[in-house]
Amino acid sequence: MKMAAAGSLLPLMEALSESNDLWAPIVEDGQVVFGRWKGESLPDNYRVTDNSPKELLLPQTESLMRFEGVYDQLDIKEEPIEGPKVAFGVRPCDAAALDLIAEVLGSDDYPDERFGQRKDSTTVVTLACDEAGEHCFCRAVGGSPASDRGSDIMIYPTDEGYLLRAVTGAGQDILRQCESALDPAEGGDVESAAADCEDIEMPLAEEISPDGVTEDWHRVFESPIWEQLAGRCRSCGICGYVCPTCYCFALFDDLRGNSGVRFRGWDSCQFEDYLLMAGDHNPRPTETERTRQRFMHKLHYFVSRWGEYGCVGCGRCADKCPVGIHMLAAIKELEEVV
Amino acid sequence: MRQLQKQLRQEAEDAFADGHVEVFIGYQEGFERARPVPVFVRDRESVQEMVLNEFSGVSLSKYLLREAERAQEDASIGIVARGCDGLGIERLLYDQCISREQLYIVGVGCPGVVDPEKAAQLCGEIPVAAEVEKQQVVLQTSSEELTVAKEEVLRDKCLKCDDPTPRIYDALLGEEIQRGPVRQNRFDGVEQLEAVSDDERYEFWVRQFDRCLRCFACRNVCPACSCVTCSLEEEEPQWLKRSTSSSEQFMFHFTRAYHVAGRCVSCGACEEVCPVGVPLMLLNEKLLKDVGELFEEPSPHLPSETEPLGEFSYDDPEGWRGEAGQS
Amino acid sequence: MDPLVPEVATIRKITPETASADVKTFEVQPDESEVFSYEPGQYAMLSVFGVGECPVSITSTYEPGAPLEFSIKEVGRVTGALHEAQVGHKIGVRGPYGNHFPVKQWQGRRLLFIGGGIGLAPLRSLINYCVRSRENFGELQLVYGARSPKDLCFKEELFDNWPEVSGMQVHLTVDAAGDDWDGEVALVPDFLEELSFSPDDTIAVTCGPPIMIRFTIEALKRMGFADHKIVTTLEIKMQCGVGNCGRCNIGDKYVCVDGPVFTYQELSSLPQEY
Ligand code: SF4
Ligand code: SF4
Ligand code: FES
Repeated sequence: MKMAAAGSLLPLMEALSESNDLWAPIVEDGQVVFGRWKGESLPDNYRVTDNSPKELLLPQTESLMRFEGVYDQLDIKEEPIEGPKVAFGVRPCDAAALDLIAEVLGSDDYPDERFGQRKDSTTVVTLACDEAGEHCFCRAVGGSPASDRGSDIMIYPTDEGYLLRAVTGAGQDILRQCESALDPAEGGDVESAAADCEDIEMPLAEEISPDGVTEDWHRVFESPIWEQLAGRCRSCGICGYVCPTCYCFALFDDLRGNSGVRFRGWDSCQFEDYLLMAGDHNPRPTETERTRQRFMHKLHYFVSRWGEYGCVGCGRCADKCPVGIHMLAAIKELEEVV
Repeated sequence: MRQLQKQLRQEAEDAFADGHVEVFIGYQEGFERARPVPVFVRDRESVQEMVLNEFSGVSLSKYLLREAERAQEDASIGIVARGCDGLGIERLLYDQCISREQLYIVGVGCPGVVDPEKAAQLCGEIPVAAEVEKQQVVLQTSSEELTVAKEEVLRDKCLKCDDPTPRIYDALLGEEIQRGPVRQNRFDGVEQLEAVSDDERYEFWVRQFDRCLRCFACRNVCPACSCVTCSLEEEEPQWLKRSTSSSEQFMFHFTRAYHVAGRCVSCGACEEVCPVGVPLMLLNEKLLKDVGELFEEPSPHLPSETEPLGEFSYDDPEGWRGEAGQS
Repeated sequence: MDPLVPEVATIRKITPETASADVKTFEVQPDESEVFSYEPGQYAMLSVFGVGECPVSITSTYEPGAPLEFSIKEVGRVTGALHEAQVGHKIGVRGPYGNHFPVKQWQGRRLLFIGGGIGLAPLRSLINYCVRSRENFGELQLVYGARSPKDLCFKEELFDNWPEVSGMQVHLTVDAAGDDWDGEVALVPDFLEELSFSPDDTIAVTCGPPIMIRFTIEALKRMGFADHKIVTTLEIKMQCGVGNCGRCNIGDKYVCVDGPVFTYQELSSLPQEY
């Protein structure tokens, strides 16, 4: 256990950046985004970044392979993967989300190699929360503002400064690298620092929980609330693209002359053409089926396959949806209506 | 506003009672106090769910496209419209996506809409209520009352608005608020950007566009984006590749902006929905400014019969391809 | 290697199945390795480089050293590009994916195959499997239909091979025909009911267009088939084929890994989103 020197995280970030590719919350044109670190302190008062750190492991679009030729003399080359990274100042919900995606993409028969390699080579340094944001509800879905799930190092803010704890071996190695920016944590009590974060007020999570509405999925599926909620849905991709656990992707080719690239990139089940098939058949033709799919996936299908909610309660979708289709609002209405 | 809300409900109720409308598009209370959400009222009883307050400002006009598609042939659609939605409706009318007879427009002389984020910054929490007055806004939180300047708390787009009252309506709530002179500061942002070097400007846009998630919210909410098949999604030919490299992001954003050039009504809906703060209006305004200057249009964002880039006439000086002009 | 990167394979032979050649069978051989072993009902992802990928059921039956066969109808971009390919051309193949017909469990049972149009492609793999180990199964019945006589696929097997198999009967029908057809003219579900098969100790396997499957299942139920003895395959849009991309879910099932083979009993407990 260590303490960040001088009560500030800046020296630590500087030390980390010396031999690592450091990513962190940064301010860009007034937006707080997760991006490559540019030498500044962490932004004041940020809760979660606009985009989630998932894009470090599952980029918006990435090339899987390059090929020469279309039908003839084909030569394919897998695209190499970028070097290791350190993700700093990640929030516990987002760190847990990386773990959640890993359950799907890293599982059994067909582990996604690109995701897996990036996960292994990314060190996640998580900053526990000492205050919940307006839209936060991690506790309602099994998370916690002090959770170390998916993290290699935990940082707990305390009145005396920042307490650091290595969670994994990789975390330990990184801490050793930046000894110079650390002080021994004399008298620092990690347990109580964590407990303080654990106990912060989170009004949304106190009010509402999905636990009561997820058992009987047939009833949830048939609920009239979907049509009401979806009436205002704009079929855009905001909710899925800002969500740290949404991992759905598409494959697509880009051909110029005789050389091409096969890409993999995010896709969203809210887009009209997501399931559109040849012959214009669409199993989820309107906003109603599509909105329901998103909520059912997080609250039921994911639970049934992986034993937990497919939502970590970061609140981004609630915050960013232009028409207030709010994860907890849906749950609350389900409780009332089902 | 309380008074206006009452009037609105009355107007909507009457419209249902007369059999005027099949659906009425307005606002209802959202999960969060300061974020009312769109509602589609389909019967007289539900009219009481409608709200109209200082926070209810989500753009509604684009919904008309979908509702018109789904409505019974001769059924009308009611809609409440602030100035910006009024222009959005005009856009859809001029583009012949909907017909005037189909619409029952309840206009609002709009004093501006409060931005919940700005308000929360000022109050430390989301206010319970707000009152927009002539020069200032009174914000009410659970514990106090705060009076702030309009500039501090209205939505950016409201601060630049020239058209607070819709130009077309069937009923008007409250007073008509006179159309201001074209704001002097309207193109400030554009001029600032025009003043920097090409390289700096390029770098600026690369940074903005690289943030873009390609969620298509900006397009989906835009009343000028009414193409049946959006060229950005066409597969053959595929104008826009799905890769989000910087060059494809430029392709996306320039295509979007140019396709609404001369038709953008400056309603600000695109920028408002963007989850990552891409300054889409800056691009739109640059085009508006150019159209204004090149064609000597004082208000290039107002839909009209003779739009510089949208007018089709048989005696076009550039002529027509083939025989098309005569039919 | 990443599971999403295909192997390059060469098209060895192309056989038009229908008069209009809207269905063609492709014989495909991977360039660098042996053909993977697979079970009837499984599918592979085929790509035309520069165009994209799509799932296609494997219509051949595994035999060491034999090439893969895919019967493909031209319906979209990728299948269109496959139809443009020539013998000797390269395509991408990855697989085999998905579950398969539980042939081991069906040993000793009677099997009733009901196919429509290109739906015979996955059934063909199964039928030839049963024909090859004929002694393991009871009586085999095939009811197959197409729009017209010209649209019947796998004619050699339909007219020459399968009718010769002992204990196997082939019943053909078309939706419409001219003078050159003296067989049955009826829709598959109607013809099926007219033929009427006993559900005793019988598994009914049906593949074809969704509308045909729907009426076929209704007919089977009227004939007394229990839900768990009606088996079908689902088609849905796919991207990865390996349960990772999230595209193909129907409720909590992923068609790409949990399917494409489902019993009607399983389907009845899923949302009707296919
Ligand atoms: S569903 Fe919403 S709240 Fe839950 S993890 Fe995703 S973005 Fe966050
Ligand atoms: S709304 Fe913003 S993030 Fe979404 S596509 Fe438009 S510019 Fe990109
Ligand atoms: S096709 Fe990707 S999960 Fe099924």
